[in-house]
Amino acid sequence: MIPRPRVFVTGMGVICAGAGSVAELRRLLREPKRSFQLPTVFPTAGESAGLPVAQVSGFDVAPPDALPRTHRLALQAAREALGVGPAPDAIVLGTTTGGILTTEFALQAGCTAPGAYRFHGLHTVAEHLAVSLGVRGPVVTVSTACSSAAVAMSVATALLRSGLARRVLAGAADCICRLTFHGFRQLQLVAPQGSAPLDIQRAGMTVGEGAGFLLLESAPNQRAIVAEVLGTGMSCDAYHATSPHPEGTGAGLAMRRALQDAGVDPSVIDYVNLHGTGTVDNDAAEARAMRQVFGSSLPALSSTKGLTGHALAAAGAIEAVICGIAISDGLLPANTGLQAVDEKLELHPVRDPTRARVGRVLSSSFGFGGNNACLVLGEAPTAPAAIEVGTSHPPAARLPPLRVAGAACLTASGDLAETWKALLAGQSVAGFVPEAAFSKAAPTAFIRRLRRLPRLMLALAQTASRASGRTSPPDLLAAGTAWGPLAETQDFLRKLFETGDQFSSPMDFIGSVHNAPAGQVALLLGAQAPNWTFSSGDRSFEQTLLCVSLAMTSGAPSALVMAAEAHEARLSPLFDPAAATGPLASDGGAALVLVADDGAPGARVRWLGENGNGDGSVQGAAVALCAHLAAQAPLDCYDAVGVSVPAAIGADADAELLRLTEMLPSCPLLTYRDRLGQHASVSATATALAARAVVEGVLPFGPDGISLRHRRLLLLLLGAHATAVEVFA
Amino acid sequence: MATLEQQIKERLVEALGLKIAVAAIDDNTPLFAGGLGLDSVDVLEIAAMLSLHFNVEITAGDSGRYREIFASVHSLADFVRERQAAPK
Repeated sequence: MIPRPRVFVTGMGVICAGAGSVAELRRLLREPKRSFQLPTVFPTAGESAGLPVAQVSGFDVAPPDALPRTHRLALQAAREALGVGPAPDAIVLGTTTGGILTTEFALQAGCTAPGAYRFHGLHTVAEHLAVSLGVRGPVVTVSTACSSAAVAMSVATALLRSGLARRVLAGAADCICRLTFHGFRQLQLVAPQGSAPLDIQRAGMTVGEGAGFLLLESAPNQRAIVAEVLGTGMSCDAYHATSPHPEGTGAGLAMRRALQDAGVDPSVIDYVNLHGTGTVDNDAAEARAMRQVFGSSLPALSSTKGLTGHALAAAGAIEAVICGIAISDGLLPANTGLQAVDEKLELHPVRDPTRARVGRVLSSSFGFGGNNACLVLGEAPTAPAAIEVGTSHPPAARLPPLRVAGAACLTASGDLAETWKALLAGQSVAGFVPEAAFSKAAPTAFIRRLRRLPRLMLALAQTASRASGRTSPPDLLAAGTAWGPLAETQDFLRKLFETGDQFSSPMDFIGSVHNAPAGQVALLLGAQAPNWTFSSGDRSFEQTLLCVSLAMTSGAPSALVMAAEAHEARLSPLFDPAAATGPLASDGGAALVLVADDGAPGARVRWLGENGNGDGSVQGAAVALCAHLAAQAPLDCYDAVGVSVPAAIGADADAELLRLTEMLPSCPLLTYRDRLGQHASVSATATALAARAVVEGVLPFGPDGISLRHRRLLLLLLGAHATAVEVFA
Repeated sequence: MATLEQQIKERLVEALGLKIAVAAIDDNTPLFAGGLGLDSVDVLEIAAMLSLHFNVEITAGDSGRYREIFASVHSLADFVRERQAAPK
């Protein structure tokens, strides 16, 4: 067996309440002093007015057209992690808020200028970093609530182990905003006096903010190594939309998977940085999980959220930096905010910062949707030879193809069969999915509270699963969505503004989280597998496919992959130009059940690449990607090329399409959004249709369709980062 | 004017997105298992609804009484009357 490349931490960057750099966080950990305060970046009223947050200071004053707060936090920490080194090959970033703080003010003011919302999307945080730092490879956005950072680290680790990248910037960023502040408050999860994790009197969390990044490398300079990423592990409770499983089953599973991936026994862990939010339920469930994994000989442990607050997506990234400091400085961080420990938890947290040798640490992050993710970090190897195993590993030329075991899609014409038929009849399937096409997906009681996006995803997941004939839940569950649950976001903010920043619906908050739909799918299917949501704009589906392919390369036997968008009358046209294209404005999506290529007949799908110019421009990105692909295999093997041209690109697409036509003279170029409609996840629909087309040998475009001699199609997405996927039989 | 019970039923159907008619809810219909089939998320939604429309706060301090307060529309109305009568 070829040893897999090792993954080293060679740079760290952080910003959180009380610390604007790694050096400041180091000082703060030695002399912990928390700095919770009343929020100053948005108004509060009534009952909410006295609740503290963990706010980053010095970031308040910004010109009106400035970047949103999350973007600025991310950039500062990313620059620190990168130092003076060259641009990384890829970025993997976790976030749940994106530009929402800015959006809240614009919506409240009734602003309808689309430019006001250009940084709303979660993907814009990582894409802004990519432009600022000149990144040309994959720019991936993970949104799995409070486990986002640890999932991002895991994806980055997989990218490095696959050889697709050698330097990856991985981390997360979130800012305080009204959505999360009032959302957690209405869920009665916010501590009035500030969080006190593991305390007998603990009364909830303190909503925080910040950003953290690790620069991860597979072939670094020995002197630069701070620590090593030994392993990652993920799971899903598949138990409840927001509450952890009371026995901590899913949390324990993620810890064990991380230890297994690291190849270490629980007994060698010197320190555990707990998720430790300070809510009654989290701490109780996590304590049970800790005892399941470590038995009675628990390592040193603490939650640092009493010091930094709970920075949501960024929490796991800030805590990864804390773990890096723990290892490099030989410091056990204190469980700040603790007065009297809750004896029932049977945990004995570190009370004061303590000097100790810290060789290996486990860091846990758990989020809404029952999403759990853990990291195992270790100290830097002492001998240079230890690294060479990694550097001798040849970079993988390509990810392997995956077999499509089942597929489903939803368009304005209905399901996959109805869509196929309409396309063969020469009709457009653009428009919004009719309610009847997805309303019978799950029992009424199950979907009572669910709005359009989770219902679309449930229907897609269930139909694709049934089509695959597989009875067991998938080993991986990955969803893509550019814009997330917009109806829930709109209703939450509308009610909040109507009540003068006092009340809104806890149900809408739970539903507004980007990974809520995938969490519902896990509940319906009983899937305790890792559960991911990617929100990478128009590339959300492609990146879902990339990350699933990476995971399946290292052994996951099956995956459910899907992507969908749900149109919302007010917000969609403000956020995505695709939703303002008249009759082409659409929603819907698709799901695929993928298995490792076992030689069985059927369609194959393979992620081929992502390429950007590094400056945000569209021109030449897809052309360069095709030139790169042509160097690996001749492009005349394709019967046709489906090109996704998002409305947001506008006229920039014309020159790119012309050059692609010149590159691919024997291959018809089909701009499929003209037929399938304009929405950010339509490439999933195109992939599901392509999977059927290559099996049937005909592409359902035009009256008789286009005959497919090679049964091989290339799907390109134009944008600042172009992507390529191939489908063949 | 509608009774407090009637107002609460209307708000419940609206806030929880219940697919039943207000008239089909009896004052003593259990809110949870065997009745309307509500769950823990609904409890929070009801707490937010009471806060917004009836100016009554249910806090963590009331958690020992959840079972009693959230038994039925009748018990919710009793709780609202109790809190509204109590000196602020």
